[in-house]
Amino acid sequence: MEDRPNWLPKDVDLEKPSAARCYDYYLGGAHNFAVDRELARQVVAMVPQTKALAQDNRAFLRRAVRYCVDRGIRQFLDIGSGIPTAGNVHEVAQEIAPEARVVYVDNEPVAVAHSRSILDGNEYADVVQADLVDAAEILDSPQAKQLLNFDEPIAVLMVALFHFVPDSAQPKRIIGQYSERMAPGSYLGLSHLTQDDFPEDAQGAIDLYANSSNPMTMRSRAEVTDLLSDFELVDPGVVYLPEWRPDSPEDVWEQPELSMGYAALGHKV
Amino acid sequence: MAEQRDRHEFVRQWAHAVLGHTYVPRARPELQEFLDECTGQLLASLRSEPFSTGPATEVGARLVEAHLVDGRALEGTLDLVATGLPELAEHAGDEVSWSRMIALVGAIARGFTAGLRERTLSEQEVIKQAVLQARDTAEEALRASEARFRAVFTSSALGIAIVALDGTIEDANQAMARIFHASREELVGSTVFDLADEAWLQDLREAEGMLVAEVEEHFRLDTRFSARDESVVWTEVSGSLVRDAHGRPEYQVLLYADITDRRMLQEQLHRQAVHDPLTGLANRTLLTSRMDAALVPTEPGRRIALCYLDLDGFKTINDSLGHPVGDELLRAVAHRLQRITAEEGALAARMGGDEFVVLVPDSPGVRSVLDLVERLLHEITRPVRLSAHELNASASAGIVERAVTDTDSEELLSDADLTLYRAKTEGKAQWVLFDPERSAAAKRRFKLSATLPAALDNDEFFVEYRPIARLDDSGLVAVQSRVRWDHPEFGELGAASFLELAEETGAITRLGNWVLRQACAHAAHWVRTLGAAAPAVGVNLSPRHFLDPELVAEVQRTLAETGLPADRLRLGVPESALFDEQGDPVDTLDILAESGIGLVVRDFGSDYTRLARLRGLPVQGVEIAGKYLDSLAASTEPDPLDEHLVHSLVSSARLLDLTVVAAGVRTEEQAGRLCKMGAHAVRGDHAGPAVSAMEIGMMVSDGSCPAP
Repeated sequence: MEDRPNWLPKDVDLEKPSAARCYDYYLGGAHNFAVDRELARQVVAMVPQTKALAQDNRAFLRRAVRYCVDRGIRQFLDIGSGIPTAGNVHEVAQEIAPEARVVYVDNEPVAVAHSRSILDGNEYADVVQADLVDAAEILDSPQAKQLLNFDEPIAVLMVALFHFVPDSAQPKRIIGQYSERMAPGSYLGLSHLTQDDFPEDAQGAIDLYANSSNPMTMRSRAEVTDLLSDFELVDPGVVYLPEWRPDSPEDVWEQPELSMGYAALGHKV
Repeated sequence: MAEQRDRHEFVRQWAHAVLGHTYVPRARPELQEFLDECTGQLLASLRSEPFSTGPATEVGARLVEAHLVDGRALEGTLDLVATGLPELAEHAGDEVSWSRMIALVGAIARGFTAGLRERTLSEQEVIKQAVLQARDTAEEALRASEARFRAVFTSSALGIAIVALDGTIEDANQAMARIFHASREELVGSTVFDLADEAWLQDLREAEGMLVAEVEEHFRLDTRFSARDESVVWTEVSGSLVRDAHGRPEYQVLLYADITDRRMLQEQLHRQAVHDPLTGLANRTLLTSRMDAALVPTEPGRRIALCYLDLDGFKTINDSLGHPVGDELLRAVAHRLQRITAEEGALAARMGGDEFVVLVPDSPGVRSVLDLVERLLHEITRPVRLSAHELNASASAGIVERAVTDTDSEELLSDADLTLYRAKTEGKAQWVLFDPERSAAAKRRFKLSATLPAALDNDEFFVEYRPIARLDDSGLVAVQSRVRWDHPEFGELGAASFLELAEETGAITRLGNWVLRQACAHAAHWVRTLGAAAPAVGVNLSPRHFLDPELVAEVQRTLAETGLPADRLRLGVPESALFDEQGDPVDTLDILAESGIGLVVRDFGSDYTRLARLRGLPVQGVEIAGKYLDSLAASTEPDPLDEHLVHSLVSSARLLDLTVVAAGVRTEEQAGRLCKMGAHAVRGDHAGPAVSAMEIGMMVSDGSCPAP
C-alpha cells in the first residue's frame, strides 16, 4: 500500500461498517446504515457502556474545545472528525467565538462528504480528506493554508483516533510530525481507548472491529502518557474521560474506569 | 421561594432523567437552563385560556432539537411531567385538570415523535447524499487516475506491457510497438518470452518466475531481441507484480527501456578498441589476445600458424597515385583477406602500413596453412579496380607453423616478420616458410644493424691497415685501411659482415666518416713521426657514403682537423658511383681532386665496355680485384683468358695513365706475372698482413718494410 500513488481514490465501501458511522450511532445519530448498526449493536451487547463512553468522549471534546477557546485559541484542527450529528468543534467554538476557524480531517470519503455538506456556507470551517499519517498532506493542504496559521497557537484534536493506529505506524512519530509544526502555546487534545481495566470487554471490541475498515489497538495509561511526552499536560493529566475537568460533579461516574477511555490535553510550551 | 425551589428540583430531576441515553452537546447547567425554559412552556400551556397544547408540542420538538432523541429520554420526560408537573403547577396556585394533563403529555409525545421522525429522515437523507457525493468524488478521482494512467501509458517513451501471470501480454502501449518493430495487435496475445532471443530467455524466465512466485518484488535485466526485420533491439526490462484486493498476485507490469543505441555504442567502442579503423580488420590488440588464447595448450599437439603479409611495392603506389588510392587498395586487400580467413576460421589483422598478419589457431599442419597462404596471395594478385585505376597488387608472406608449446606470441610475430623479410629479399610475390638456421643468421644481421650506432659510440670499432707494396722494388707506397668490429657477443667481425648492413640502413655515413677520421689521424701521425717515409693512407668509400652531400665538407674538415696533407689521402671510389643517372661524372670528383686528394677507382673493369668513360676523369689510379687474378697464382701456366683479361685491364689503365694496384695477391708468382703485365703495386698476403696503425709506424721506422 505504501507504493499506492496518492491520486488513486480511496474506495467508498458500504459493505464494511465504518467507525465514524458507528460513533454517530452511539451518540444517537441517524447518519448510519444497517451494516454500521449491526456492528454497533454487537459492540453494545458486549460492552454495554459503549454508548456512554462515546458520549463521554464527545463531552470531553466539547470541554477541551471550550477550555482552549477560553484560553484564546481561535483555530482548530480536528483529525478523525468523523460523522457525528451533534456538538461539532466549529459549533462549540463558534458559539463562543464566532471567528474561530476549524479544519476537519477524515480519511473516510463518506464522512468527508457529510462534513462538506454540513459546512457548506461556513467560511470559517472546511474539511480535508486525508489520512492522519500523511501529516504534510494535511498541514500543507489548501484548506489548512487558507484557514490556519501555524505561527499562532492552535488546538489539534485527535479524539478517539489513535486506537485506530497500530504500533507499526509509529504513533509517537506521527504526533511528532504535527507537534513540530505547532507554535508554542498550542494544545493537543487526545482521547484513547484502553484495556487497562476490562481486558476481556476491550478484547471483544477489538475482535469485533478487526474486520471493519478500522481495526483497533488499545493502549495503557503509560503508553498514552508517552504519546504526549512532547507536551506539558493540562491538569488533571491523563485521566478517565469523565474525570477530565467535568462541568458538574454529577457528570463524574461512580466508576470512571467504566468509560474505558483516557483523555488528556497537552500544552506546547 | 418554595415554588422556585420546587421548580429547580423538577428541572434537575428532568435533566437526570434524560441524560445518558444520547449525546447532548451542552454542559449540564446549560441543559438545565434549557429544560427550565421547557418547564415554563409546559406550565404556560397548562394554564392557557383557552387551553392550547401548542407550547407542549413545541417542547417535544425542542427535546429532539437538543438531541435528546432516545426513547428513554421521552419516557423519562413524560413520567416526570405526569407526576411532577401538576404538583409544581398547584404550588403556583393553578388548578390542574386531569384532562388537561393527559392532553399535555400527549402533545409532548406528538411533538417529540414528529421531530424525531423529521430528524431521522433528514439525517438519513444527509448521509445518503454524503455517500452519493463521496462516490461521485471517488469516481471522479478514479476517472482522473485512469486518465492519468492512460496518459502515462500512451505517452511514455518506455514500453509498458500489462502481462498475465503466465507471461501473456494483455495490453501494450505504443512505445512497445515502436521498440519491438511490431504492431500492438501483434504484441497483445503473444508472450514476453517472444520478446527475447534464445540466449536471454533463460534469465528472463527465471526472473519472471521469481516475481510471480513472490520471491522477488521486482526484477531488472537486459535482454536482446532480433526483430523480424533483422534489426537487433536491446532492452532493459523491469518487472513488478500487481496484487488484487486480497493481496494475491494478479498481473505483472513490465517496463521496457530501449537501450539499443547505448548497447550499440558500447559495442562500437569495443570494436574500435580492437579493430583497425581503415580496414576494419582486427588490430594488434585483438590479434595479441587471440594469439594468447590460441597458444593455450588445451590439448596435446595443439599447433598454431602465423603468416606475416606485406604488399609488394606499396610505397610506389602511395607515392605515385596518392594516399587515397593506397588506402583504397589496402581496404580492398583487407576485404579479400577477411573473406577467406573467415571461411577458414583464421583471423586477419592489420599491423600498420601495408603489413597484415593472418593467425591460424589450431593449425592442422604446414600443408594446409600453405594452401591457405597461397589462396591469400593468389587472391591479392587479382586485379583491384579502383575508380580510375586498375591495380595489380602482389604480396610476400612469411609463415611460421609450430606446436603451441614451443613458442610464444612475441616469438611467433618476430619469426614471421623475419621470414617475410627473406621472402621480400629473395624475390617478392612469394611465400617463405620459417627456417630456423636462416632465421638465426637473419636475426644476427638484424641484431648487428640494430646495435651498430650504439657500437660506434662505445668504440667497438677499430681500423687496421694492409700494406700496398710496389712491384718493382717492394717499397711501401701506401696502406689500405679497413674497419673491424670487436663485437661483445659475436667476437671480432670483418667488414664483410656488417658494411653491407650499414649501407642498407644508412649507418654507413656515420661509420664511414668515423673510419675516415681514424685513418687520417693515423696517417697524420705517421707524417709527423716518419716524415717523407710515411705511407699514404687509402680509405674506401661506399657508394652511399660517396654520394652523401656532406662528404666533401666532411673530408676537408677531417684533413684540417687531423693535419694530414691532402696528397697523403687516397679515397677508393666504386666505379659505378663515379657517374650520375645521366652518365655524367659527379662533381664531387673534381672538388676532391682539386684539393689534392688521390682518387682510386675500385672494382676497375667491372664494366669492361665502358672503360673509355674514365678518360679525362681526375683519378690517379685503379684497383683491380677478382677471381681472374687467382689463376695468375698458379705455378703452372695460368688460364689464358684470365691472363688476357688482366693484361687488358692493366694495359687499359696504363693507356689512361693510371696507376694499377692489384688486390688479393697472395703469391710471389702472382706478383711476378702482374709486374710483367705492367701493374704498379699489389695488396694482399704477398704485401703483408693487416696490422695496427702503431705497427705500420714501427714497420717503417725499423726498416722491416722497404720505404717507398
